[in-house]
Amino acid sequence: MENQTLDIKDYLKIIKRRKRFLFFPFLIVALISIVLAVMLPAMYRSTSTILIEAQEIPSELVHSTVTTFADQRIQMISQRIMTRPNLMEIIKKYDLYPSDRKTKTDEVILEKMRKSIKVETISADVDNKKNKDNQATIAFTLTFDDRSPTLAQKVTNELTSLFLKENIKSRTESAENAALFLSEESKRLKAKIQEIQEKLAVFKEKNLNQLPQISALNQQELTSLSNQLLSLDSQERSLQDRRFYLEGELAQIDPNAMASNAVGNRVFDMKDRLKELQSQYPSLIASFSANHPDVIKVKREIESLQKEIGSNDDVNNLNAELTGKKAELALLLKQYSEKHPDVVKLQKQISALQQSLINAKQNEYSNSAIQPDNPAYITLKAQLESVINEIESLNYTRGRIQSKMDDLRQSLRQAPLVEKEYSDLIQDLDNTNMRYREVSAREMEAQISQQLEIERKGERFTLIDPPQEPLEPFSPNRIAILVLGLVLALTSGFGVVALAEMLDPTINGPKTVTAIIGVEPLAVIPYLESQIEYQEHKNERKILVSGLVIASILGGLAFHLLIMPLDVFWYKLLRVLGN
Amino acid sequence: MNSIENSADQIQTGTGGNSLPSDKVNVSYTKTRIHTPDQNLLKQNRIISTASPAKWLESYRMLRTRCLQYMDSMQWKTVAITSTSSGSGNTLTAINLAISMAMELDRTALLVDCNLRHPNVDRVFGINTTVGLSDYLLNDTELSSMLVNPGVERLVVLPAGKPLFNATEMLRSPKMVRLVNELKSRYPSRIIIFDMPPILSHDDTLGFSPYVDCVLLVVEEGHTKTDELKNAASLLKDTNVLGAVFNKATDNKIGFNEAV
Repeated sequence: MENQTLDIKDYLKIIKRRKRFLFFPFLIVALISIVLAVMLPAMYRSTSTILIEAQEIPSELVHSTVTTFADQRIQMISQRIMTRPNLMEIIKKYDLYPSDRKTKTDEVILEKMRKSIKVETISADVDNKKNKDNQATIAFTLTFDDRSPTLAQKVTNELTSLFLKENIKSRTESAENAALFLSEESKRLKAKIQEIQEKLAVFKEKNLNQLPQISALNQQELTSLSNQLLSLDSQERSLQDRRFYLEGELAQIDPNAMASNAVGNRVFDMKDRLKELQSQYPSLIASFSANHPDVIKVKREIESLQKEIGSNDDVNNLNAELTGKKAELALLLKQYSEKHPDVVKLQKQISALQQSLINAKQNEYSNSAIQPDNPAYITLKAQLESVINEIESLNYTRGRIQSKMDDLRQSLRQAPLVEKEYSDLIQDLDNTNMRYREVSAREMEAQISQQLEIERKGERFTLIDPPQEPLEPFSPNRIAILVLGLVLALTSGFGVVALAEMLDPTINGPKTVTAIIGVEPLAVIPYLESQIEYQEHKNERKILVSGLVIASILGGLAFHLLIMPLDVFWYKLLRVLGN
Repeated sequence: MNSIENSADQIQTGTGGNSLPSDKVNVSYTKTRIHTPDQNLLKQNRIISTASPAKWLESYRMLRTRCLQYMDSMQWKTVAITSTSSGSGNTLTAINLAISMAMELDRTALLVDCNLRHPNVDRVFGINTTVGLSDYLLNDTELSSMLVNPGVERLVVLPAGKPLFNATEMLRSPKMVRLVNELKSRYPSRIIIFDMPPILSHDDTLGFSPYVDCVLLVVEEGHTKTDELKNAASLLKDTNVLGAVFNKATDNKIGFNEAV
């Protein structure tokens, strides 16, 4: 057909022209659908309803560690149940699909069984505090379809119990796993804390003085030490003053006091006695002969005294002698060369003198160690010595303080470096501690939750509607098949008509002619049926009707004999229609 | 179609003696053989007559009037009737158009069967003749001896005669051209209708089309293909096309009972 608008008349004409194309597909499809509707084997469906009960103890009190949504868990469990061993066991137990098992592979049968099992969730609108207007699964149904109602019920029962068992198992496992994991985690954290603490202890020990807490203390100490140092300085100064004063005093006092004997004469010490005797001696010599007992006595006394105290004069004499010899040497050297025997002799004498002078000086102190006996002197002396001692001790203390201050300064300088490392350690410790606390809190919760699962107090599945033996088949929906089949028959009829019309290249109306040649046909000559054609049509109709009658009788007979008795079919058809 | 033989016998008997009164317009009737057809045969062959069903007759009258109006306005006298393929009712349309034209009181019509391969006109009328156009073209047979009046006033039929195999060449021969011109010019109010073979299966029509004034295409419902029609239209694009006739329309089919 050419592109042109068709009106209803044209459509009717098309249908009239191609009524055979409409009729036969319609007849065939309708017959097939009727036969299907009656003949399809009945499937029975047994259903069990399982309620998902929330945990008994409010979740504010005990958090469950099994947090997957019920939906998800149902899916997981159904996957676990629909494993090959499970299903094969059920198939063997109830002898399902006996005919298929003979011919088909396990895979095909399993697939068929999986298709027969349906898990459907029942949702409800739940006003949750957290997420509003949420769909929550409150229950689900488990169905199994089979041709036998009894088997459907039995298998559904089996599947339901598997489901319930599997749920408990999976929940308990899940809770156990959570608890186990958390306890391991807390152990690990504990070990870590210990490790950090040990590290910190070692660190503290190593950097005791540089630790940040000590730093302030160090500062204070440093201040106090410097104050101390200042006060030490002033103390020393006063001590020094005192020392100078005492020394001055001491210089003015004769160490040897004017000791007097019992008679009241002043008692000379040996040195004074020696001096006195030595001064008396020349006068005695002058007045007496050398053999005079007095002279001899004095002489002996002098000698013994000299022996006693050693001679200061020795040194003086030696000094004088040395000076004189040196002057002599200088004089000689002006006249003679150095190798002159006199000069050499003199030089030897000088060196001997010098030697003896040194010796004498060594002896001098011990020789001249005369114990002072003036009490004032001794007191002063003692005071002076104590002052000197004090000064020494001050100096010692100062040295100590200074070295300590140096140490402190050093510590203070190093403190920032230490502080960084120290704070890192502390922070690490804090963090780990915090996590440990968290984890242990969770561990406790997990343990409670595990207990919850063990005691079946958590969310659980309750069978509220055990599977019943179905009384009515669930499928096929025979009425629907019938109606759909008729609709399909009609559409296929019209479809075939449309297809035939589309594929038909012939001209079927004056409009088409107009469309092709551009002008309307001059005239439309109607078809005039001749007598022969009339007869032929008549005969055709007769043949068609008789052929249809014969075919339907034969078809009915074949159906009756081969497929099912017609009365049964009729009864079934009536039941289908009556449903 | 069994009855054709029978009717042919009847025609044989009826031929010769029956002479119609001479017509004022058509002088040649005196020379023309008059054939009295069997009415049953005509009815069987769907030839129109006053007894035909009204719808059937009216549709041809409509065709005639429209053709004549157009042809008169263009001063055309010859029309070739063809179709895209055989069996479209080409010949019947030509005959019925000729009859309906002859029904006009002031016109005469000449129907020339130019389908030299499968001549059909004589059979439809039941005319038993052995000579025709082919004899004229081949043997120069006298034209007047071949013309037949098929029992309809003011209508003369020129049968095709013996089938020819070089039909195209013969149709394009100078003799044929001369004949056409002579026929055209002899009677002023005569319409000459050529029944041609299908345009697509043979080139006869295409070759002959320059010698006629216009061409009328017969389109058959449910049989003529759109491609064929397009093809024919394109072949005839340089020729005057009078128009198309939509034949065998099933829209208002005339049943056999109705026709009786």
